[in-house]
Amino acid sequence: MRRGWFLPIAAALGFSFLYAPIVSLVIFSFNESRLVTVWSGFSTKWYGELFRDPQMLNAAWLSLQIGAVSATIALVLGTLAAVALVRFRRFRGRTLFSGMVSAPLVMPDVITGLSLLLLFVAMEGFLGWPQGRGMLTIILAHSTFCTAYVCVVVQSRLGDFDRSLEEAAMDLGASPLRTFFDITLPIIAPALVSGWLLGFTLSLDDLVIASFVSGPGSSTLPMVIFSKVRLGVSPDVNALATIIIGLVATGVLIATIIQLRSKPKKAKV
Amino acid sequence: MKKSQQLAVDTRPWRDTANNKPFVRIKNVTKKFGDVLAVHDVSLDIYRSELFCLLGGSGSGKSTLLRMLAGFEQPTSGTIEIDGQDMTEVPPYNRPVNMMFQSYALFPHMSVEQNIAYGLKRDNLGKGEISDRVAELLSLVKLQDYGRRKPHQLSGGQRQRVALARALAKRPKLLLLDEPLGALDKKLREETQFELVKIQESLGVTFIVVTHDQEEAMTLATRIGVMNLGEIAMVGEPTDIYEFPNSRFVAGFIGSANMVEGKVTEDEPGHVRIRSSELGCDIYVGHGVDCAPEQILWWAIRPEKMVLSREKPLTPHDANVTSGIVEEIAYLGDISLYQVALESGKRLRVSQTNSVRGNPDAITWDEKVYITWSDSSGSVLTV
Repeated sequence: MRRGWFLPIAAALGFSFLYAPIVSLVIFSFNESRLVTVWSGFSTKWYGELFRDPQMLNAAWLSLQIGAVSATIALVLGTLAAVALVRFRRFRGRTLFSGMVSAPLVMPDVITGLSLLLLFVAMEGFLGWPQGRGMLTIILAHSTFCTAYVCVVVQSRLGDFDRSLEEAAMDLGASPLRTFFDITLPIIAPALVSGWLLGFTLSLDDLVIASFVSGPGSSTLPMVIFSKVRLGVSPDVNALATIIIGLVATGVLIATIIQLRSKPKKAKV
Repeated sequence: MKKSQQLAVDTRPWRDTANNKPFVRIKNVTKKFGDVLAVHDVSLDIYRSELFCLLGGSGSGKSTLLRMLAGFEQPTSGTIEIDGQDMTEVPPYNRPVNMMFQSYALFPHMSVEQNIAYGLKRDNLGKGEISDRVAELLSLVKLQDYGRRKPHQLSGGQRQRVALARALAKRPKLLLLDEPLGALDKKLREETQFELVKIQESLGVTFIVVTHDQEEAMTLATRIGVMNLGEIAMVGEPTDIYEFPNSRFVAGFIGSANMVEGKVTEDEPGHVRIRSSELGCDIYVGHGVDCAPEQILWWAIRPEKMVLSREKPLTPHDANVTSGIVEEIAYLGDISLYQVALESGKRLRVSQTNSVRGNPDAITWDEKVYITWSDSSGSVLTV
């Protein structure tokens, strides 16, 4: 059969629809000119400019910290939730629990952000904690919705986990705790890594929820970029965006590779 | 009714229960999952160095019983004793029992050596001791050159042997095997069966095997426990189970059997006569049976225990012969299986050995034939 022209063209259109904006952003990050839309020659000066901007660097550092901490918290909570959902088929409130865990996946960010803000304010009133809003409240908020993503990823991995592997370890004399660290953890490790990376990326990316729950002096990177862009796009934002795209793409790539490499083994054994 | 003993009693301890202590004692064990009764009041004694097969269909409770022996399930009531110790409350990791899983359950992230060494490491043995033992086991299952491979690099048969080696590593007193040959193809299964028996005999470990495959059970077992609906239907040596079934279920479950209903007309200490309208003749049984005159009971006979002929054979007691029309013939090479329709509409299956090559005079379709059997060929069943 003759290869049609339709499929390649459709693919090209699809890809350009998805990636043309990103490509143009990357190209213009190397623009000489101060004007964002006029090309006047290749330069990396905006990258230099970026690294001399303390506000930008502080925000980036804050975002990385928040991302790492909330991804880690989410990893622990999400894994526990997934184990509970997969291993204990029947317990009181299971449907409610599974619905609540995955609710942040479908909840609009505005609502999540607003509700968390109200919660934090109320908690401060009653418990005196968390005091004010800042890095801590952003971490708490991000852990909440990242937990949902981690839970989904780990749940699918645990779902096709052969229980007899754990039974075999116990049969050979390993205590339940030992079994978890020797057998369960190594086998679900790929899902944990990709869950963590997913949480980290989502936290890095979040603007709406962070805007609700952040306080003075704790602006994350997306918040800084957003406020800058409102005053007119400056080329150093392009440079920053390019770096972020690079980071995120690497993260997603690693997560995908890890998932793929662990698949064939599982299928055979 | 029992056949003569060909072997010394001490190799078959279950025949002399007064002088032999059972190694595994299952006493009145019941297991319920919610409202479902998986195992119902099972009592079973298994002796040292036995290769005991639990045989049953799916849902018969055989796997649940095995999992209770391993400690993965707790009996709802009853006790399990292994080597004189009560194991009912002991968790799986403290039992002197190892299990070979149906899926083999090899740890995918560990090499063959690491898989076999896993249990030994849990016992805190020295490095040298562990590697010696691993090498010993690898040679036992003939996988010396595969120690560094990962499970996914092995064939099904090799994985099965790794699983066996891993389960034997800790020198368990009792090895449980869940459908050990179920995942292998037919030819490999037949080879492995004998290997398994050889290993069991050379190590002297007590094996309890769960299987749904009666041929497998017959080949492997010293004794078979037939399970049905969570209960033990019969326990016995393979020949007992096949030749002297104790119930209609066992007769029908193991091998194939022709079964007819009949009524006792003569009940003497030395013989019994049963009238069967289904069979269209009297059945003369040459030994006494625990029954009463006029009692309705069943009589089962294996296809190979009957003889076909064109002429009416002479039979004593005016019984044990009937006639019918050959409906179907299945030629299986070594034997031919005939389906004969009797006048009552009842169909009997009779097998005949093809001892003459390409016999032109063989009985063929639509012929009228006489079927006869000896007075000790069938089993009288009251339940």
